[in-house]
Amino acid sequence: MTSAAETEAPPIVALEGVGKRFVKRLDVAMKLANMLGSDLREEVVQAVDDVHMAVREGEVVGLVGESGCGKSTLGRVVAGVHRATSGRMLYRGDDVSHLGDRAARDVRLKIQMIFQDPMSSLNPRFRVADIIGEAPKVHGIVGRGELDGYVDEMMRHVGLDASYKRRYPHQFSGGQRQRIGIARALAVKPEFLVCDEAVAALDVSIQAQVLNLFMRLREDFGLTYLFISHDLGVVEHLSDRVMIMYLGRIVEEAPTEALFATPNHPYTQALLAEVPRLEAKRRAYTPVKGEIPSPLNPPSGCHFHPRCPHALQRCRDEAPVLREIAPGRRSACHLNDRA
Amino acid sequence: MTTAAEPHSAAPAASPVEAAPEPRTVSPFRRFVDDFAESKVAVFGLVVLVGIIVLAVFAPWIAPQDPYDLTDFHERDARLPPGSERLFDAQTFTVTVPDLVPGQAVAIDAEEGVSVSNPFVDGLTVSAVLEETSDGRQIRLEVAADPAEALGLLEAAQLEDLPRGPTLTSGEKHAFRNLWTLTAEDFQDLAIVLPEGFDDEIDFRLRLTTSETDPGFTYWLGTDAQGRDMLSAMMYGLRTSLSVGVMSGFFALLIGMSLGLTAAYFGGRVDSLIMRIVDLQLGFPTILVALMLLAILGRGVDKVIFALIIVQWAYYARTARSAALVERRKEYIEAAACLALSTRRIIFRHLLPNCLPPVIVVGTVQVANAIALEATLSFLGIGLPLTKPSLGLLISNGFDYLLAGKYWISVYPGVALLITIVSINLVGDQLRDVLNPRLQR
Ligand SMILES: Nc1ncnc2c1ncn2[C@@H]1O[C@H](COP(=O)(O)OP(=O)(O)OP(=O)(O)O)[C@@H](O)[C@H]1O
Ligand code: SF4
Ligand SMILES: [Mg+2]
Repeated sequence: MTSAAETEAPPIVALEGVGKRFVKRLDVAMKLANMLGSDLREEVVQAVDDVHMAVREGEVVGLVGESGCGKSTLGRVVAGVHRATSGRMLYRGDDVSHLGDRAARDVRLKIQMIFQDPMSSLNPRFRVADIIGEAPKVHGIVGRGELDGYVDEMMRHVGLDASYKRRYPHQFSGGQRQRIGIARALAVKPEFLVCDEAVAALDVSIQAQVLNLFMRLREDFGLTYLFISHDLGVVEHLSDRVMIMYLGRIVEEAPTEALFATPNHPYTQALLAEVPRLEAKRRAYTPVKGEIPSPLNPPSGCHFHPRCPHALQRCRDEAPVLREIAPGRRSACHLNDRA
Repeated sequence: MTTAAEPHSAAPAASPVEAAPEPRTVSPFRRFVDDFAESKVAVFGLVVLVGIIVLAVFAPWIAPQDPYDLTDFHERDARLPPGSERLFDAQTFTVTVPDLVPGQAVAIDAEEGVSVSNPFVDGLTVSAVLEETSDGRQIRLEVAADPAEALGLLEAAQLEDLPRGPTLTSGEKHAFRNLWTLTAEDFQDLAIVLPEGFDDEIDFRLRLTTSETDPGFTYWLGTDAQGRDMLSAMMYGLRTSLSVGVMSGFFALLIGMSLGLTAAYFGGRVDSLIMRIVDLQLGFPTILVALMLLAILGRGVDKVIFALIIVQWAYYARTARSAALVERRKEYIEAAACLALSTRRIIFRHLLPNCLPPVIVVGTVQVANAIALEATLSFLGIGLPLTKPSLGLLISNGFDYLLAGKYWISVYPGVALLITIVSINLVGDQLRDVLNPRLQR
């Protein structure tokens, strides 16, 4: 968890009002159809909407939300795969969109991403050695002569036998493939890993191994994580801090223990509603009631109002802002104004 | 998981957590070959196709005749049925014997009437030697040939206008004309016996008649209207057809794939523009576009290839684009972007190789289509020039003789075209099955 000393240094990654819109433009045929009287509109999805967040060095931040709420998109913006359509992203205090080519490349390498599908995230035509070694070679991170040994070292770090490096991805199991993906990211000496549902596709027994690997690497390499997951159990186990996302917006942010103990936002409370279970070991959560609204046409005001048990008229008209409700805790709900 | 029998493993960090699925390293190519070989029909098609390609590539070295060399074939061989032997003209030598010295051979020149175009018999020479024997004097006639086998072509000879007096040692004299008829055996031992005291100058005409067919050269598939060996013409025609098909296919693939990948990778306006042109292109019937282009451009190998590229690139572009749209969404492309690899590297090293399989499948089918289309154009008389006959042109040339029963001029090139296209398609079908991502394990 946060210690006093860390609060002084600028956060490793900070987002200021970051938004990402996907616009599906009309093509010529559709425009023609419109001229003939039909009513086709551009499809606009505000996948990420005005997100403010800061991740401090060494932290593990969990990002939770239902499917389609924009978690992956936010992760991709942080990792530099997508460009934000509004707002700015700072890396150690520097606006990444104002960096020169070289510096921008270096920042990009510092933030790496681990993907959900361990198969499709590896190029099927490359051998493991090439998958891991390509970027270090291209960017001159290691010399030609040392590349071989470097790849072996990366494979050892993630618990893979270096003698497998001449193989192709299809010859490995799911857990091993995910390790290859992790080794590929490690090989460019990152400081920040965005893990997008990085264990969701794996068997439960393998999940634990990969999660342990993440925690070991965190210590060995001083990594910071943005850990995206819809599995609250995993997030609780791993994260120092949790952010809850709903239809593109962050609705609550709190240290893990506080969040799980006293969830503030009605959406968080709904997410955390537990299924009564006999064994106390693993908690199970019920899905939130009600349908997820279409991101193409989100509800007015607070996006959560159609499903919120406490919704007021004000919730339909006005979007609540994410405000500090206690030190280190923020929440976006009109109910907090009544206090 | 690896089961540890010993309490402590010697290697500290290197122990793999999960067992490897299989011990050998199978490259994707090796897997591809194994999968391909599963269909016997496709392997057969591939063998036939390779055979056809070898015939086409090595045609200049293995074809019995050069069908483009006008001195190599002759009108008199025109439209011979399959299995015929090559025809010759009879040869006529007229010979005058000069002053002869006993024991010395003198070559007698042929003066006139020697026809050309008989490569074997052109080498025939006759020489004369004056000999003194116990019976008197005689002139021995010897026929030699270069090459020596050509002597076998000699069937008969006639000797005319011998002066009164001398007689021949063999042969048959005509009942009342001054004409000796000789068989091939008669030449083995032939001499002109000079009567006692004969001192006149001797001159006579020797007409050598060679066999009318050449047993050393058979037209296995008959000849065409110009007297060309069909087999040779087809090998060269195959060469033309294949090279036109492959060249146009290759360039169409290059152009189409670049445009398709560009459209898919950049999306937006670039994509719309390119794909609208593709739609437009695919909206017209292929044959019509090719016909119009060639009507404007005229005949020629380069023009046909150009026209075929124009009508084909869109297929490649569409295929490459749809493959690239699927591949581009895969996370390894995002990972490559995360690793700050250049756009060029991502497109050409990551995207392109993974989009290749469906494009190759389309490629094989399109090459077959290109060959068929070229044949159609040539058949219609607007494709290749007559000097470079392709299979289509050969079919077209023989078409007029089909009703006259001379089927071989059209039918054999047609069969060759059919076999070529079918074998390419067999290979293409299996490629499609093997490379189909949905069927991939
Ligand atoms: N490249 C894109 N083009 C257009 N729309 C997109 C694109 N990527 C994501 N979206 C849209 O943005 C929204 C958020 O998607 P995102 O993948 O970020 O959600 P997610 O929270 O990761 O969901 P999941 O848990 O299913 O992975 C979705 O409505 C999705 O349809
Ligand atoms: S703002 Fe209103 S609708 Fe939104 S979560 Fe709070 S109470 Fe519910
Ligand atoms: Mg996602």
